[in-house]
Amino acid sequence: MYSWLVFLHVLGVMGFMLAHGGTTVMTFQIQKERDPDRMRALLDLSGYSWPAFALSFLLLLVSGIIAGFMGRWWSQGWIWTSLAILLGMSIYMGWSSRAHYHKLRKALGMRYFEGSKDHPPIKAAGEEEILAVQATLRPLPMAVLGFGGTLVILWLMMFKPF
Amino acid sequence: MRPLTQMYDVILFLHVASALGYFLAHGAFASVTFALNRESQPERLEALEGIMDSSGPWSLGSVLVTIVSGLVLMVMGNWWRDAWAWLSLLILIAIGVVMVIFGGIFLGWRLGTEEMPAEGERWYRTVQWGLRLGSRTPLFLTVTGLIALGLILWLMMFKPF
Repeated sequence: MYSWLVFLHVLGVMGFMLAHGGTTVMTFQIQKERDPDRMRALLDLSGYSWPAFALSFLLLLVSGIIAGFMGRWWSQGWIWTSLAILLGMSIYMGWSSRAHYHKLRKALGMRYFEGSKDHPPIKAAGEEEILAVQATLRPLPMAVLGFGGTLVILWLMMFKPF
Repeated sequence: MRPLTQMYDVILFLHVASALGYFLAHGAFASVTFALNRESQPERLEALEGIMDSSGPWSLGSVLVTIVSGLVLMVMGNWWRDAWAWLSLLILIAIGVVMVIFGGIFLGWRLGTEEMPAEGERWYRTVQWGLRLGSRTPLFLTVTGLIALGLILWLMMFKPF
C-alpha cells in the first residue's frame, strides 16, 4: 500500500510539472510580445491549465502527507523541510503572479485578481501603460526559484539526509 | 543517512531531475495543443506557436539527458538483464512515435503549416486517421501519454520482471 501511495505521489508530481509547463514558458514568451492580442492569447493559455494544475497539486500533497504517516517519516527533518520549501515556493509564486501577471491582465482588459478578489474585465489601458507593466515582469528569478526548489525537494526525498 | 557519494545515486538524481525538466517543457506543448482548439485568430495562433518554438529545444535536450542517464543506469545497475528496463525504453520510443505522428498531423491541420498528402501518396492513410481524430487529438495524446508515463513509472518503481 505504501509503494502505491508513493507511486501516486510521483504521478502527481509528473502531472503537476506537465500542467505547469504552459505557464512557465508563457512567463518568458510574453516578455517578447508587443501586440496586446498576442499577450492576451498567452495569458489565456496559462488560465486553461489551471484545473489540471490544481488537481495534480492536490494529488501530490495529499498522497505525500499520507505516505509521510505510513512511512513514519514525520519524525525526520527532510520531510518538514520539503513541505516548508513547497509551501514557501507556492506562496512566493502566488504573490508574484498577482503582483505582476494579474496587473498585466488588468491593463489588457482581461479578468484579473486584486486583493483577494476576482474582478471582471475593465477597459484596456493604452499601449504605453501595457508596455510599462510588461517591463516589470521578471520571469527568471521565478523559474530559478521554482525549478531550483523542486530539485532541492527531489534531493531531500531521494536521499533523506536528516 | 544515505550518502550522496556513489556515482549511481548522482546519475539517478540527474535522470529524475531531467525527466521533471522534460515534463515541464513538454507540458507547454500539451497546453498549446488544447488551446489551439479554442483559437481562430491568426495573431493568437502565432503567439501560441511561439510557445512551442521556445519549449522545443528544452524538451528535446531534457529528454535526451533522461534517455542517456537511463541507459548509463541500466549498465551501472546491471538492469539491462531485466525485461522491465527494456520494456520501459520500448514504451518511451513507441509513445514518442505516436506523439510525433498524431501531434504533427494535428498541428499541421490546425495551423495549416503542413501540406497534407493526396490519396495514393505516402502517409495518406496515417494522415486520414489523424484527421479523423480532429479536435479530439489533444485529449487522445494526453490520455495515451499519461497511461504510457504511468506504465513506465510503475516498471521503474516496482521492477516486476
